[in-house]
Amino acid sequence: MIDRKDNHIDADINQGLEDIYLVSPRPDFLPGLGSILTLKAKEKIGEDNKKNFFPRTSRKPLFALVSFVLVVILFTLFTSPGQTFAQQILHFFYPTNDQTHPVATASLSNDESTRLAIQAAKLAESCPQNELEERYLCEVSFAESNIGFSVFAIQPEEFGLFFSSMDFDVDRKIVNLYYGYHGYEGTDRSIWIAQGIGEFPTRISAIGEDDWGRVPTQSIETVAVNGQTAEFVVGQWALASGETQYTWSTQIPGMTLRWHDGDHWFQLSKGGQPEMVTNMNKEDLIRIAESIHPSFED
Amino acid sequence: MENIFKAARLNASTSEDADLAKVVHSDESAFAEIYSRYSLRIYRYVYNRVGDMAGAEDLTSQVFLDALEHIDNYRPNGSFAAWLFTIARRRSVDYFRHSHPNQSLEDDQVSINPDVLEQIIKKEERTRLIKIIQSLDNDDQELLRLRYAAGLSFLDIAAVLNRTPASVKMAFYRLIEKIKQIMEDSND
Repeated sequence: MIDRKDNHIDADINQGLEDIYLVSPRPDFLPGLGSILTLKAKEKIGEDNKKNFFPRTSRKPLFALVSFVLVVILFTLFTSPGQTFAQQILHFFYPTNDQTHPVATASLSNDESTRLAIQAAKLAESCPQNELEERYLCEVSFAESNIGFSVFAIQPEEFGLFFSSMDFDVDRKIVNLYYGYHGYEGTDRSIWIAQGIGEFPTRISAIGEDDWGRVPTQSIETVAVNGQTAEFVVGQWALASGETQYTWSTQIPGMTLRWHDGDHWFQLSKGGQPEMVTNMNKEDLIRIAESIHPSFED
Repeated sequence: MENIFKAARLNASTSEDADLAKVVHSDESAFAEIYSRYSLRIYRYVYNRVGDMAGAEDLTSQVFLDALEHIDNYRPNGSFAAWLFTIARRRSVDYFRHSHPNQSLEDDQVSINPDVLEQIIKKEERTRLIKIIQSLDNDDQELLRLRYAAGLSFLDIAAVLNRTPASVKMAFYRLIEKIKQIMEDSND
């Protein structure tokens, strides 16, 4: 029996399809063919050995690779541009010494607004809105088929969360997934997973604010997500009443984690609603981060 | 909502397949191991395409002979299953061209072994399901074959069909939804 792992497919249909497709051959056919083919394989090995007087593998590519790695290491360690480069690629946030942040004046252009609105309408049209489980799967699949890379997601129930919504930006290749807490009404965007390919963009959110990745240097803590270096920050930019600039505040317990996995970048954020304070800490956030995986099945 | 998403890590057997393919040149047991892993799945897939046992046996032999002959063409960074089922798919198309020159692939329908059909027919649901499958177009039938008969992952199906994994997955779930809907409609 094939491990179908399609728990969300109607069990009867799944079983019916398996009954129909999993036919058996004559009992003696496959073993008989196997013996013949193994003999053929043996003959082929004999022929290949006659043809190949020299070993098939060459050490040249390995030597070239080792040389290249050595050059990169020397460049990184002993040259100023190399050190700058290393600093850039090792940081996931953009460190700053500023404690204030200007209120964004940029807003979405009409074209961009229209494009995102059309995208959102297509998403709503393509995916069922009644069944949460189906909608989650469908929306992630829809984003994947439009954006061209595998979207990583979590099983929210494991963490007492529920899938709330998602949006994505085809042009900037960014997908945002939002989750809320069971039992807390109005927390639909308490947990936010943003992801994309390549380096971290300066603007992640699709709603016009920018540069939230720029955080005070002293707030950045290096942690590990599945053994990979990651950066963790507590605090967020807050706009006090009557102020014209954001001020960095650690009193608002928002937490953000950034890391790379392969060619993917990820940002996992927890909103700072007061009722969430006791519910989640750094370790909890890292646990969620470590559970993020591609939506494709084996 | 448990288990909606599954990790797509390369599982052990996938990387083992690549390792086995690399040593087929020097170790006949490697090919025997590949054969034991895939022969039944290949058989099921081609049987569901051609619909008769003799044809399926012939095709299964040809697929593995092709694989043995052209193992140098396999690139270990790709999925071995996808490579093998691409051969099976091509061979099945050739089979139809040569054995059934007047039958177009677009017209073919899922073939069910009469013996199996007899067992299945006892259940009304299964009978209706077979009819629904037979009414599907060839692309949809192929998707079900690759998923159920061949037991391929979405990633491997995408490689065989030269499509993106996301579009394959979306098409698959839409197809299941469509089947479910037809079954529900016929209940009314």
